[in-house]
Amino acid sequence: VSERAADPEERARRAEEALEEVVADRNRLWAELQRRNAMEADLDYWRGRATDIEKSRWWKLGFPLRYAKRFKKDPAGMLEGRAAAIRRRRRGK
Amino acid sequence: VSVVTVAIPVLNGARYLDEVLSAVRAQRIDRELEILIVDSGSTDGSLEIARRHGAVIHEIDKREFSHGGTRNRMMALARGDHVVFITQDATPADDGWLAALLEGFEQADDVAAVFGPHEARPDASHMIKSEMERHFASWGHGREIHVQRLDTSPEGLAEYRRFPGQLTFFSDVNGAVARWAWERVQYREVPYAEDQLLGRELIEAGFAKVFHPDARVLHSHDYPPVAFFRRYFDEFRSLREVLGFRQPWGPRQTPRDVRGLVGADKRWLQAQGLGGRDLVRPLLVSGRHHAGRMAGSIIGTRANRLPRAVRRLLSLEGRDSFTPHEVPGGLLERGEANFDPNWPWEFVRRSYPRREVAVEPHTGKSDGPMTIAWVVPPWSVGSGGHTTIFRLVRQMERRGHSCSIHLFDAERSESRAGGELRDEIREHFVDIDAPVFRDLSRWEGADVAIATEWRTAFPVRDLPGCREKVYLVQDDEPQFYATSSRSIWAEESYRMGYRCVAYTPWMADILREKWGLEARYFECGTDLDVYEFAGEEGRRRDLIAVYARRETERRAVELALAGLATAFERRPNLRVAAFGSNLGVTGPLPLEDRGVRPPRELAELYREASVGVVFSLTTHSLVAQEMMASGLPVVELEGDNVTRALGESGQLVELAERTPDSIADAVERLLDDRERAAAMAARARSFVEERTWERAGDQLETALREFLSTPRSVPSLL
Repeated sequence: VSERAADPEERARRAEEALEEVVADRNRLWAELQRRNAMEADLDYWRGRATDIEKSRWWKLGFPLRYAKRFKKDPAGMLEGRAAAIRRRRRGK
Repeated sequence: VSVVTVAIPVLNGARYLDEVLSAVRAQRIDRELEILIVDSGSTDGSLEIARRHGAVIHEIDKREFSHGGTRNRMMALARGDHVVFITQDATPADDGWLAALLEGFEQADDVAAVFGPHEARPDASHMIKSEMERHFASWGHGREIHVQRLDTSPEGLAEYRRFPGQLTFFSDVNGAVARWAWERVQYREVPYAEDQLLGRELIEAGFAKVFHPDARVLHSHDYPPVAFFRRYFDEFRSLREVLGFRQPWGPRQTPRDVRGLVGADKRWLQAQGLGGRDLVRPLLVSGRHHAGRMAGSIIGTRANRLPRAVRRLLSLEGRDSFTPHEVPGGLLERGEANFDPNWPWEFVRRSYPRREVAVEPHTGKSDGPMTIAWVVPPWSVGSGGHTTIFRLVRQMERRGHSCSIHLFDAERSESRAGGELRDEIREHFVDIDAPVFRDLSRWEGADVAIATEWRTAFPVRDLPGCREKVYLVQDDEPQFYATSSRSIWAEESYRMGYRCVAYTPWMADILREKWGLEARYFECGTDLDVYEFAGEEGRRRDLIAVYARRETERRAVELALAGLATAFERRPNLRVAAFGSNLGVTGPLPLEDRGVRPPRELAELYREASVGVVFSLTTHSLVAQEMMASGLPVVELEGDNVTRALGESGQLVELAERTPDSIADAVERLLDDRERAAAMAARARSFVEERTWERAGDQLETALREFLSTPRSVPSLL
């Protein structure tokens, strides 16, 4: 039976149902978008905070200490990492 | 026929002067051309060359010369409406140079000056060629006409203070000045960088300046390395004197800067077809040049710290002075300390001219779940208004609506991330699902946007993508403030055409009757699980609980304490427990200050005390409602806000006139007639029991659906 032939009330009911589904779907997507946006906003916020910290004078002054601490913890790893970085740079050239 | 003047200050410029004047004479323009030369004592035949080209010549003594003063003199001598300044070694690159400069003035009525690019001469070093190309690519990518004007918004001014050079740069090696502008802003008599100062003053006076890429001249200097260092010392000393510029430096930054400049030269050389080993030598030269340039700029912009003798030694022109030049009223100097680009009330200023709330046309569909975006001001834990807002958010979520919460923090008092704010709401207020945003930057629209306080009403009004805008009015906020900007602005939020949902019918009536707004109301619930009813047993006959949040003026805490002091005079055995303030409470009677307490501790106090005193001058207080739930007889102040919500005195609360004696009388009446007080407390509990948060949620949801069902405008079918 074609849509045209159906009872008008039935058609209206079906249309209502379809509309409700669409609205529910739209709300779900809206909520999902809001959640994602909120997460991205938080990510931006924390990135900004990290950048601020890295730019601060105290962080820069602490660089030798942090470097020495890392070196003391894993001297071989540090030297290997440094060598790998130099190799990468040379290969890049 | 109007006249254009090309003005050239000359001193022993024979090397290029003939070439320069020939190129000037060859210009294709539809105006009369005047060449004006001011010579300050040439001995190399420059004057003869100038005469040969038909220049108008004025001779001055060498001691009379100054870059700014002499150019002012030339402006006064010139016949042209536009005066083009070039130097004796700047050769117009083609015959369209002058027409291009004049075309710059046609870009707008307020163009005060036009400048064009300098192209390095063929024999210049690659560093100079590369640097000039980069420098003039700052405007219109070096290819398009670029009009510069000062953006006087707070953001624009802040940007200008950070990077003034982008707007102030002007060069009288190749620049033109409109006479009308010079009549208002003239060159200053400074030893150097007079063109930068003129550019700055013209921009700060509100005029436009134009860069025209086709007005090219050939002009460059090449010096040996030490002389370059000394020239840069001079140039940058002047930039410090005139613009206050200081070249940043640091053990990591400066090598990085030099490396960056050498890298730019490398790219330039590669674009010219150089590669491999051929790059090594030029890049070493680049490194030396830019290191010298950086040293010259760092030391030059700090020349004030050097002794005169050292300044003279470092200067190519042998100048030993350092004279910071103050531009009267210059934006770079004026009130730096008082300029606040983050002025908290800027959002109000920007909200004018007055306009109605912006909403999208829609069909009026109002059933089914909604998307609701709440815009809230910053809060502190314990804030009653925010507790109500977040409880309503929860109520909407429980009904299947999707919510988001956006902070509007005009005063920038909140530094936490949205996730942290959400955690705080969940921990200290209500367990909501909605995501929380720390600003409005990621606004996506919603079926309904809700402003929750007068400040939020301003941004919400203009937010896009909403079918309806609603104002949740918990209090008559204009009354919060003494006659002031804030009271005016709080009133302004009632003129925006919001549809309102007010706390209490009393507030809804004010919005309707006084402000002509469409208003529904909701009534707050009380957490009956926390504020359990207690009868007369167990209550201490001498204990009064008083809400003393003196941070909030509308709580009339001083009046409450005055009344209690009078009561204490009559009954010295009374004990008063004050709560609700972080500031500490003192009064003319012995007080036990309990500070801000969690709800469960307050509930205990309400069950223990015999009378509760809580005032609110601008609405009906939730604290009073919580006392009523706990069976504690309450004294309130007479007023429409209270009687409309709670009826006549003695019905649900005991009302006092606004005098200490009357307050003391009301307290005594409740203490003396406990039977009557208990009956009143029982009625009050019934009243509160009817007012649940579910009911408040229903009232809000119904109001929102009613508003949506009657759209302000419907979509066009066309």
